[in-house]
Amino acid sequence: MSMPDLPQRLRRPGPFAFSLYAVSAGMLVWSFQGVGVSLERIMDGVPNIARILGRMFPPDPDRLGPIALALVETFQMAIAGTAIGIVLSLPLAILATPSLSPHPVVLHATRSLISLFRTVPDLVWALLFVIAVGLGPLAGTLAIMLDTIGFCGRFFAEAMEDTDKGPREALTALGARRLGIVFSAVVPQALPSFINSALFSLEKATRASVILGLVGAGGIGIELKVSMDLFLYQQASTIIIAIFILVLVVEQASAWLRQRVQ
Amino acid sequence: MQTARRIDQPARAPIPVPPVAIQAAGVTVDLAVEGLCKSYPGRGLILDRIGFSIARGQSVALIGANGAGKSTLLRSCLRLIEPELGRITLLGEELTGQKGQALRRLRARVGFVFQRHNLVGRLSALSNVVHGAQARQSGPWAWHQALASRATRQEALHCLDRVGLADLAMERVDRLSGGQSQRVAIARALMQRPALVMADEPVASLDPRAGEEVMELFARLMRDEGITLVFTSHHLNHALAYAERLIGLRAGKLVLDCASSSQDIAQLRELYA
Repeated sequence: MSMPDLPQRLRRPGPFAFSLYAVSAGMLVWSFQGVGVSLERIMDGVPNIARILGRMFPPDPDRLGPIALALVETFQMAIAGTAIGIVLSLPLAILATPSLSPHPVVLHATRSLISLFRTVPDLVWALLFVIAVGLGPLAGTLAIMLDTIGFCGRFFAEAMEDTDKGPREALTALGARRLGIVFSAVVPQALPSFINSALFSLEKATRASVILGLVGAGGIGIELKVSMDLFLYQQASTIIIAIFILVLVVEQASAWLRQRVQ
Repeated sequence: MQTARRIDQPARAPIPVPPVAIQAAGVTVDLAVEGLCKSYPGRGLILDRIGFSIARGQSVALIGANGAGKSTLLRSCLRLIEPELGRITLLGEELTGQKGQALRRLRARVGFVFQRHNLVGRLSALSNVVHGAQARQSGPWAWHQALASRATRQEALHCLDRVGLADLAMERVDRLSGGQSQRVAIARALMQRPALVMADEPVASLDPRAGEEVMELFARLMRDEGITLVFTSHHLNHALAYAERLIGLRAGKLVLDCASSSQDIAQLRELYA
């Protein structure tokens, strides 16, 4: 019996795959041209980056007190916004879970609302809340809250939909009410996933709360913007290091907690 | 001695426990099913005009090969699966057509034990048993043992004690063995204070020894409490040992309805041929 020919290493693309590759390559070139990506300009910029980094060191510890206070405020915004967001996410997520929602209209309405909260960037929400409630950390907290609802609402709903249907059937069989089934059989099963999503949300909120200050929504962002605008690069480096430590501590604590949740 | 009635053949003997006779004798009927039909797209009729009635305190085994319709029939009797045609009378009340609170109220009086236990794995045995109280309590008081009243917790512990697991009350059920989990499921059913208990292959996921122990305990508890028991089983020896009456299904049709004492394993194996 003769041995078959050795197969080709790569399959020849079909007309559809070939068109897809060509369109993708075309879009990449178009985008690079559109934003002016140029190796020459990047190389020219390297000495400038080195010069700015040089002017940042050593960090200036003179305003360490006010920076620490702004950092605490940033973290408070993250915690408060995330906490309110998580609490509001749960009822919305229940209504947005296909097997738990009382009616398809309610299901689609809540899913659309959650999508809206998720797809509009937190910076845009912050701008709106600065107009609504004025400058300061409350605007940032409300922006984080909506962003958390968008994130947790979706992941809570997915976690609940993925739970084992057996306990639900058992509670339905014994005549339990819908709310009883949700809180007795669904939420306890989805709880580890809820905690994971909530911790990711807190990490995300901590990073976001730094940026929100740039539009006047409280936190350390405004300190960073002022330092950069006034060319106080040594002070800016102190702020960046403080932000780095905060984000790192939150991420490490979150990772440690997630490992312990089963 | 009563003899089997094969529905698809001419009756060779009197029906062992005919529904009319039960009612005529003034015996309470806990479950009566008439003309029950259920089909699934692509699979045809799963239940084909099923009819029988079960008297209070009886223990009945539903037997038949895989796909014969046993589980569908049991679930249909509680409308966990919605039958297309037919009439179900449960504990003296018409179940067909009931909705909302009326349906929940009827279901609350029937314990249902599932093959895979259907417990909430991350919760304690006590919390899972407390869930049984949702049959008669609304609000969050029966969502978790920590929220339940002292009386409810005490009753749940008593139910666990009856299945021999009081000392594991606070153990997470996903850390229990299969046999222990099924005992917790039985305790949850007892917590409902049921008049009737249905069990779908209650020992199918257990090893033979655990299966024997659980079945023995289950049948004894139901007998002691005077609770009507309907269970499906592939273990013909369990059907013969723990049921007074056998109902056999083949391809969705009721083909056997007889006293278990009238049958032996060799005869019952014909159902699986």
